[in-house]
Amino acid sequence: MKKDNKTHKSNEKEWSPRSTRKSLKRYLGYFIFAAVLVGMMYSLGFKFFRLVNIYDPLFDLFGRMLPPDIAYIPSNLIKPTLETFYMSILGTVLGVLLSIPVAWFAARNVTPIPWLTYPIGRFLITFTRSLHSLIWGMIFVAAVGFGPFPGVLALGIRGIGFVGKLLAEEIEDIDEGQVEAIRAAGGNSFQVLLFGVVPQVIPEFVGVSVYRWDICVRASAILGFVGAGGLGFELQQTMNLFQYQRALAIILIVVVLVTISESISAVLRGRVT
Amino acid sequence: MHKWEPKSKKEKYTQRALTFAAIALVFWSALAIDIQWSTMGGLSALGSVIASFFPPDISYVPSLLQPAWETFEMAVVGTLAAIVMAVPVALISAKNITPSITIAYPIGRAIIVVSRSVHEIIWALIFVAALGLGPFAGTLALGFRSIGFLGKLLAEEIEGIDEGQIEAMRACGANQAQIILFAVLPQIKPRIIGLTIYRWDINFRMSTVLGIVGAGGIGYEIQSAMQRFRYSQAASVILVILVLVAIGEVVSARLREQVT
Amino acid sequence: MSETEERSEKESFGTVLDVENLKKTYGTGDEALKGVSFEVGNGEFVSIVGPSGAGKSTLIRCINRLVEPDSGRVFLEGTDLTDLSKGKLTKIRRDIGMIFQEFNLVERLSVMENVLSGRLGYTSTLNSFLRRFSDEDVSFALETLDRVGLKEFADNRADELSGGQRQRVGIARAVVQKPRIILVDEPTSSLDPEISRNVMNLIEEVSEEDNMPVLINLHDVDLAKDYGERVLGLRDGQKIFDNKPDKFDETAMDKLYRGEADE
Repeated sequence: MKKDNKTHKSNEKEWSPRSTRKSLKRYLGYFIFAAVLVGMMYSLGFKFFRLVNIYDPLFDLFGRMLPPDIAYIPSNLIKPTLETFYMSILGTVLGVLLSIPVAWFAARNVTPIPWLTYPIGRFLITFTRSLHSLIWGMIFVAAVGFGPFPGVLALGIRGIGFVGKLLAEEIEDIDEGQVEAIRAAGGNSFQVLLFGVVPQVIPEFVGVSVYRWDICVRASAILGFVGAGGLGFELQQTMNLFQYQRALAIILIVVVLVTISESISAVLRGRVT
Repeated sequence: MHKWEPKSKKEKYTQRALTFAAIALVFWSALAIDIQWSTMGGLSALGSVIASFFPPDISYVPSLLQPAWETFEMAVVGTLAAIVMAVPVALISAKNITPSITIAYPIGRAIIVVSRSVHEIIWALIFVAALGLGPFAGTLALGFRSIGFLGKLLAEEIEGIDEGQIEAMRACGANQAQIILFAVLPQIKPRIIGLTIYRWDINFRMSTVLGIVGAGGIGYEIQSAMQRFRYSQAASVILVILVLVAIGEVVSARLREQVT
Repeated sequence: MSETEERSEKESFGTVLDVENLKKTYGTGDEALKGVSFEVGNGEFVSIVGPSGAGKSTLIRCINRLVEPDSGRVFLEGTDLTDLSKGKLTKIRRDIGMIFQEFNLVERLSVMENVLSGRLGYTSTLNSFLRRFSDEDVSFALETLDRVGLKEFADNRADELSGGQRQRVGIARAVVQKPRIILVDEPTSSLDPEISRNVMNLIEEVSEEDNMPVLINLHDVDLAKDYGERVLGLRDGQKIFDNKPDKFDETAMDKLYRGEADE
């Protein structure tokens, strides 16, 4: 925020936070921004009337969702919940395993063939990050059919982008001195990696993996929307059939799952890093 | 930098135990998960499906421009709505300046937790069920989902500010609102801007899938293409999404450079 | 004489600040103040000295209730500060200026905005948001900036200034409040010796020219002896010296910093 010198007059009593010319420019900027924003809102269907009246339909919906149909849980939801949980674990593991070589490629300081493997690594990371896990879910469902398997694959592929990126950054951040020392002591490239690089990144690696699991729990809960297993399918069904009380029961399970996974993740990450 | 140093015996055992538990968990999940291998086509089927994605049907792209733009708008409006709501939430969720640690603080923290635990798709479902199909519901879903993210990080930022400035404002007789305006907001302004840009980037990705539940954006296009087995069309939607996301990343990186 | 009558008499004699038996024990069990009493009259420049942990900082902050005292009373021109509701306390803080050890300026705002923030108590919330201060406030702020020698820096960001300059902005901010008394908490601890002298001179000038009572915590005993007309010695939460600077001799200093001579 630059101030101009117009206000430095020794005998003048006039002072304002910014000169009038700058003020006009500022207000013009605000006006344009506001105009664009209002235009966007209008095309999205944001009419003033609708905006002011969102609470009535929301409360009406909540009224129809409460009380949650808890009985639905033991009868129908145990298997999907467990499936969601297993998917999150396996999806994380797959993603983590796949991301190790990718991160190796994508880290400037350890990539084996800089002109080739570095761009490949970076591309893989960017590509897998660009698509939401639901889109990956759709792709894999089309490729291998319904069920939790495409879900695990989707989480794994998406995990490359997430874990791979953070891991590559961590590798690039290491203390090169330690790597040098191993090299100087006569270690081959593999040993250099194993003793110079790996020990430095393990704590962060574990932390990121746990964080990834936390995210996978959230994602697993809704992958069923595209047929990729877990509670998502149940949620979609119940909502489509207007069975709102059952839907709320499912949502509550999801919230509980996510809260548990977040706490575990926070604790584990607190210990490691 | 974290070094992997030898730890005390107790820590070593806990580490071993946890690692063992984790590995056991993985194996258990792999075995317990019920994958119907029989219903899945073999590798050849997989191969032909993948092949039908290529080449992407470019002629489909023009009809995707409007949904793509809608997706962009949803992300922008949703993020801005979120930051407007998140700042007051952050102010009451910061231990050092919350007006009431017994009432306001827990409420603020609860809002943050709820917002973060409910997946954006679920938010979208709720808003669609209540307010009808379309991007209106989707934008609100993005907004409500982002409040928690922004509020949490902003509250952390507020808890880390220089308290001396707050002290000085209290000492000269400023009221609570003036204290916030002069001692708190100026200190967190850069973070507000940085976080908004960051969250916009994330929301941009999220807005691509809300259409799956009818909440607007390009997600509907890809789902309908997949459901009708028009894979080359689906591929072109994916292509458009990739381009969108790439543009979004470049824009957000540039904006962040401008601010810092 | 009833208490109210006693108070009015003190006031007519020019007592601005009347501290009565202030006590404060922190949650950690630290007994910071064990019953401190004293008075400050119009235009008096009073230094508080004492070893670290003596309670100097606590004392200063108990006066404007930035720290809440456990018991005791503080009267500012007859008004009992310890008895005020939050709203009234906010109002009366306008009459108490404060200068801090770490300057406590709003780094990202301009020097002028920092000085004007001293007038926030007289500005509505809406106007504060729009940065619209009254004309009198603005011209007085400019005058005061000139007085502390920083007029050219009015539009610079506060964090562009050196330590000594920032403290002068802090002084300007306090002066602009047009307070009845200025409290100062170790204003020079973060500054070099030469700059410290400049800052102390400025504070002394303000006290003399405006007939302003100043209550100032000092770490440096020499400064306490060179400036001001009265020295309060605090040790272990108790006042053990209250006299003119020239009476603050070796024996008195020993007693203050090293404890009883026969310990």
